[in-house]
Amino acid sequence: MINDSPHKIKVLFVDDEFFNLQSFRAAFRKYFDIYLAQNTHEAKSILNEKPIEVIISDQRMPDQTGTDFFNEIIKSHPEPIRILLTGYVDIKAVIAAINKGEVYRFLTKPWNDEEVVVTIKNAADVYRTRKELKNKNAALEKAYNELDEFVYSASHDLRAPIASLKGVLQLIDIEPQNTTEYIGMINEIVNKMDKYVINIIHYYRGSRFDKEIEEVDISTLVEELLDEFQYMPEFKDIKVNKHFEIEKKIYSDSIKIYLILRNLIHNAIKYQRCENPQKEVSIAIYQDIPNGALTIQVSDNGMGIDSNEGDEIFKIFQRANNVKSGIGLGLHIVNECVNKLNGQIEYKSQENKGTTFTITLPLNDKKDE
Amino acid sequence: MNKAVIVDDNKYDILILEKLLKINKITEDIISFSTPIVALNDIQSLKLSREDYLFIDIMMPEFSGYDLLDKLVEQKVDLTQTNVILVSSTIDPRDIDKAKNYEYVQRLLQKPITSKMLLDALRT
Repeated sequence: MINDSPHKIKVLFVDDEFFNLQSFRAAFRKYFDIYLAQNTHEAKSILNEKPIEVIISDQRMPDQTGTDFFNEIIKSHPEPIRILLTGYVDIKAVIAAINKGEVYRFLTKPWNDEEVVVTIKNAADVYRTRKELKNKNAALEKAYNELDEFVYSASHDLRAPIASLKGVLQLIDIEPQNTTEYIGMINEIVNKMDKYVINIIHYYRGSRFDKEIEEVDISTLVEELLDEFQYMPEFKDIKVNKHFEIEKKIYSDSIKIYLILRNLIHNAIKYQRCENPQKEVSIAIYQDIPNGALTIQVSDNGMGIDSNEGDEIFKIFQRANNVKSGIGLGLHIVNECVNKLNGQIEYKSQENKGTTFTITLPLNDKKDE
Repeated sequence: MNKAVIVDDNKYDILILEKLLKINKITEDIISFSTPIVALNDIQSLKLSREDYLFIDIMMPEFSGYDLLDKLVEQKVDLTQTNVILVSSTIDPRDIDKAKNYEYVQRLLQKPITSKMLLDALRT
């Protein structure tokens, strides 16, 4: 149950009678985190400062009635659940307020302690459920926007090479004598498309799946990736430094670790400056057993990233660099993987000096987290 | 002789359009840019006339074809004095509708461009 959570429910009690404030605090302080206000002016300033979950207000107060107070704060503080404390004489005002949705419940004076506790707990349940729903909605909206952007972007990125293919096929028709040249072009276009589709599969595996903990042979992963990347045109004359400090077996999600390493190393190789005579890429992996952390650091002395980009570079389809082609998925995949592994990602970069990405991941024990 | 300017980040599509312009005897004088940044810098000095063609791709990584048009107008390039033709592989109506806001854009050609499309577009 939500009520069993360790933090006490934050309750604001508003009443013009000092004696009522005191006795409310005395009766309920052991259950709730209580804030008192002797008028609605004080109440509003508390609302501005504290994350109040439940407000109980007296109806008859000299400066403002409880229902008017609730009506006034409904725009500025819509979230706290509002309970009205009133004598039977005010019943019409109470019903009107409940019907307008300004008040969740009402309590009668003099109050019954047990009823107050139950009502506050129920109100807090509503508050917390609404909040949870709001967070879930925000997460859904994010996923939805990403998907929308993805479909928009993919429709172009997949359609563009197909249009090129059709164009080249048309040229073969017109100039059959140049068929060999055109088949070479078709090959290049198809390879590009293939890379794009593989990236989409990676994105899907990185961000859409939950983690699976298993033994990860991280140094072999790095070697395999470097083997694969040696055919990249940028790879030649890059000096690759590797530094591993791994004492005991690493347990993590090997697909996510693979995707992190793959994208970071790929970028480090791709975004070199061709005029630089001493191109370097460094890969360092440290296991910090006392602190239970694994650090992955990939640095290069290449083009660097514009310092104004900040966290923008991790957004989907955001490209930090416009000089070279790319689709803006790589760092997004890295970021999603790091998030799924409860890790942290930082980068330092200077234009034309290079970039260093540092990723810290919690070390897992053999199974589970 | 009239000339054609092509701005497109896709090198294959540049090549296809260049070939089609030559094969269909539209022009041999073709200047191509694979990035709008360089195009923005150089187009003014090309002094395009009513006889010339400016082909601009819509989706480019640095900035879009529409942005390029806006920036050229800011540079006081008079685009009403030449033939502006947009090209795109997009089939998204949002991108296509946007062309209506640019009065001097004569056509939006959807890739792949064919000889027929090109001849039809340039005849009128």
